[in-house]
Amino acid sequence: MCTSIPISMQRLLGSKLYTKIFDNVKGRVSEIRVRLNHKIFVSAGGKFFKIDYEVTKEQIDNILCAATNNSVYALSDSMNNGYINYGKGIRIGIAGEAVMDKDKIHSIKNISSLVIRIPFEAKGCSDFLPTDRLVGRNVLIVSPPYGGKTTLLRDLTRRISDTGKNMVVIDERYELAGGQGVLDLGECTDIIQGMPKAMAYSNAVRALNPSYIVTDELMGEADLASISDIKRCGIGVIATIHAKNIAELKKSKENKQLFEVFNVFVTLSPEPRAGTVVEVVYA
Amino acid sequence: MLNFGIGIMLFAVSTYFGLYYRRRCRLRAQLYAELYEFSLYLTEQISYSKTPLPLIFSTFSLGKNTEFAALLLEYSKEFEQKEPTEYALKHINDREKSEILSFFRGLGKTDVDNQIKKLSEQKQWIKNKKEITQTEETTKGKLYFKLAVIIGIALLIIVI
Repeated sequence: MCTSIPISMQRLLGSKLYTKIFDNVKGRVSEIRVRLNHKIFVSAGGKFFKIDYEVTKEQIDNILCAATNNSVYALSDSMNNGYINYGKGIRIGIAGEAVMDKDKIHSIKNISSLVIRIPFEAKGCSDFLPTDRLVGRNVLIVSPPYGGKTTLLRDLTRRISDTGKNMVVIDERYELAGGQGVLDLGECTDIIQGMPKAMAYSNAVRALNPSYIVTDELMGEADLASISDIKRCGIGVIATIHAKNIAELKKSKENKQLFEVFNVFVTLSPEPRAGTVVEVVYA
Repeated sequence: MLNFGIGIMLFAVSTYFGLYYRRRCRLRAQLYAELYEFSLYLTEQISYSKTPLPLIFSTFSLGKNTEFAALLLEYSKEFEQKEPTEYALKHINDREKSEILSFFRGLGKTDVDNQIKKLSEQKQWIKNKKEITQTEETTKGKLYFKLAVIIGIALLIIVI
């Protein structure tokens, strides 16, 4: 873990809550779930811990204050999309009451849950995928939550980038790169952050001349259509998707495009621990 | 000779109170003028750049040696500590201090549109206060100073 992340987490949680969590948890903390009037749940070292500490509204407000640098208005756009980028790759998912303005989310109020995800670099975790076997191929990493998709994607990007391939990472929610110089994505990687994927794909193809485009969490027809377009441009794609396994993906007609774009499928599982490789299929 | 000395002292004391009151009016007017300027700056920074509050506070107070700038720097500590501080604002009463701090504490808690809307509402009372204190400076400040000098001279004459 980057040495600056503990300092960031202490500032975010406050010293009291930080001590309560990190003194009572064994292993590397990857996720902290804070819910109003409930105990705190922490995911660390592949296990879940329940911290005997009930969260108050004031504490949630304090975390939000720290997360937004006392300026909710500065991050209201991303909050309307359900997250706050805290920096250093730390992403905070938020749940609360939506204030709608016709069909659009105007704002989120009465925030009652926060999911703080802490990035993890596991250099070498993608070594089982030889880069020379991936030349000219598009890779899809499939896993349910907590499977380690993003960590694997990050390492794979770094390794391919270090072979000299120009990589463009579409980091819409600031999770992959974690800000400039925080997480290592390789020597030949350009990062587009905070931009909706559909716009970012277009910018990347037209202006950045990539060998590969890397993106996390494909979801919806728009994403699938975009990666099909990218493939047609002759650019490689490396991406992740939420699913239990490839068989589950095949059940949905919407996912048919995936099998036309990708020809390497890596399935991960959170059991017995995050990053467990279930299978690798070279189509 | 003694009477003359006492008379001069009384004149000096009276004039001092006049100067003090005039200075107080001037500093009050300056405080609220800066507060109004700050509210305009806030609106601009929040609307166009969505600049975070700590940066707005530090940038506005940069290079200024006024009571308001000192208040901004002092208040900025609350962003880190999250503990309210006792603010020594010399020339305003407790109610006015409470209004200003309430204004600060209402910042940064909501989205852009609501923040701008709230700022627009608050700018009006700040503008009113600015105008009142400016009027006080030009009328009461000068008047009380002149009165104090006159009283001082009168006391001097009486004593002598």
